[in-house]
Amino acid sequence: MIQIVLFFLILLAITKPMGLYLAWVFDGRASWMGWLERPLYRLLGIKSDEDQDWRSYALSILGFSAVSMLLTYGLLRLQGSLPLNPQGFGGDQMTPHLAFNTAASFITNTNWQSYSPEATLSYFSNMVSLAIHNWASAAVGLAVAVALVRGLARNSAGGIGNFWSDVVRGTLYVFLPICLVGAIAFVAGGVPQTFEAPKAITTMEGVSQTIALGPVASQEIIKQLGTNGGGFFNANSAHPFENPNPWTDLFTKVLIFLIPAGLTYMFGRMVGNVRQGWAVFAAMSVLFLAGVSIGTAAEQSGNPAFAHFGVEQANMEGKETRFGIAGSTLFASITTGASCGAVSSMHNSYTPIGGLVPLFNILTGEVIFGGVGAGLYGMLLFVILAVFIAGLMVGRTPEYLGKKIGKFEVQMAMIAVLAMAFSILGMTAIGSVLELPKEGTFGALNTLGETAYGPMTGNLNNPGPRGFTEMLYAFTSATGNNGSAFAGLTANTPIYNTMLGLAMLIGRFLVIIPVLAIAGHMARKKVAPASAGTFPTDSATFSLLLVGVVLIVGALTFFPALALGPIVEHLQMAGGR
Amino acid sequence: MQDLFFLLITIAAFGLLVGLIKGTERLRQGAGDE
Repeated sequence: MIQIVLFFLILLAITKPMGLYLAWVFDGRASWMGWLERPLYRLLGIKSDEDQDWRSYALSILGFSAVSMLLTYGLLRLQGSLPLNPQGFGGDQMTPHLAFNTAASFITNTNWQSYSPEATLSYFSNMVSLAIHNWASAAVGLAVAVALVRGLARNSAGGIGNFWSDVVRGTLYVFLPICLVGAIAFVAGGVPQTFEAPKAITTMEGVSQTIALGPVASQEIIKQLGTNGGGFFNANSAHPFENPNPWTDLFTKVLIFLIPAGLTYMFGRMVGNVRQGWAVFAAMSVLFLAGVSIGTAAEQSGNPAFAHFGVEQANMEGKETRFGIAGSTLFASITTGASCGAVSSMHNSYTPIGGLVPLFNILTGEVIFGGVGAGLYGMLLFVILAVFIAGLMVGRTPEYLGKKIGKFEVQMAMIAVLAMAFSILGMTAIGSVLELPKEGTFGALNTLGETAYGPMTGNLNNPGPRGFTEMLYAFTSATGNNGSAFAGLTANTPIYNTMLGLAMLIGRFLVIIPVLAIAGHMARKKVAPASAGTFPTDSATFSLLLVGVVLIVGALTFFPALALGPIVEHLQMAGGR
Repeated sequence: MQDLFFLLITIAAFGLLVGLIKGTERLRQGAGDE
């Protein structure tokens, strides 16, 4: 419990300075990296002072993402012909459907990995083909959030900023300096950074073992700071080379929430009322602390069936002893509240309610601080819905920050919410009933042999509600661009890789496009001064209303699916089954 | 063959998203509450 309180106090302390810095960068005042920024603009042909309307901004994102995805696909498939490949990995490891899934995963900031990195990826694939997206996809998310804030803050304006400039400034002024210092801190904490090939050793038991190595620290820092989550090793942050000790564990947790928390303050600062930012921060904090408390209590209580054997009830299965239960559940809440997806414990080993918390966090749209940029713009969508509902309840015209919330904004917010639900529930439903034929299109696509035929549920490790949760979690994680795995699902098959890849694209772009449309529409509106009839949105009451809207939308949309998975499993466990 | 399939899926997905942007802009202009 002490570590949860300590973590939250640290978060509280870093929010304002980080927010001030972000505001300094994105309102254009910061120039200490100008020596690198200006030549980069010239090299890339960027006119940084050119203000884009929302359509141009969105098309720039799509163009950038489409080219990135195709390029990444090609580089992954050709890794056998590229340098830095001491293990000799090639296209046999990186099949077409896996390359599609991986390319979609990394350009969308999901970093879902259907493969074991140390047995699939060359160093080049890790450091160039994929790690570059840890930077770029996070910078895109950050840019979208900043564009939305500009849209809310500007008065009768046509543009919402320049996408290319926002991405460059986010990378140079935010990610690069923090990553340089943070990577060294990780190395000091015991994380390797080397190009040497894996070491073959003989253990004290006389068994030979291969110790995987590589440039881990440089990937680890951006993996957490950019809320990417894709690990250098399959065990992710449970691996002692990614997360060696409690110090690196705390550092990791702070890194994940550093920018998302700072963005709330930046938002308040840029709209000219920091209380607006703190109101959003408060709503996120309530949801976060409630989730981590419920999850920790569930894991501390463990499975009552063990009491009959006279052993400790607390559930340590799937957790690292060096982090313990609170350290693990805190990590799980952070990584799923943010769209990070790094894991320091195996979520499939959690009790039903312990596993429900990370799943629910993602189902809320990851607005509990959320991914870099994605958390803030996701929460601001809920703010629009909350303001609209409040307006209906009290009979006033809904307005936010002095601007009227009209039909268009609500339509866009609902498209984003419904696209998430459609992808998660629709794909889980398909996965629950689909049987893959041996012949025909799916048969022709199959490269994995007999095991990939038959029902999609055949890839689950557990029957019943736990198995259903494994599948629901996978499509939730992909759609929410989280990337963490509940585990227990063999996902490296053509059908899963294709469906999960499409879910990632839906979850990313069917939210970003409505968000930018709202930004563009709001930017054009006039700001009206607050009057006696204005509903205050910088108060504790509004924060609680916002929490309620997030919970109700999440609960109403996904409760039936959760009832079939973790809830019924909990009732079974309580009943001794 | 499979590479071509995934190339086409990617192009089709981004093509649909471009169409969505154009459709959304028409909807936005029709909202008329600026």
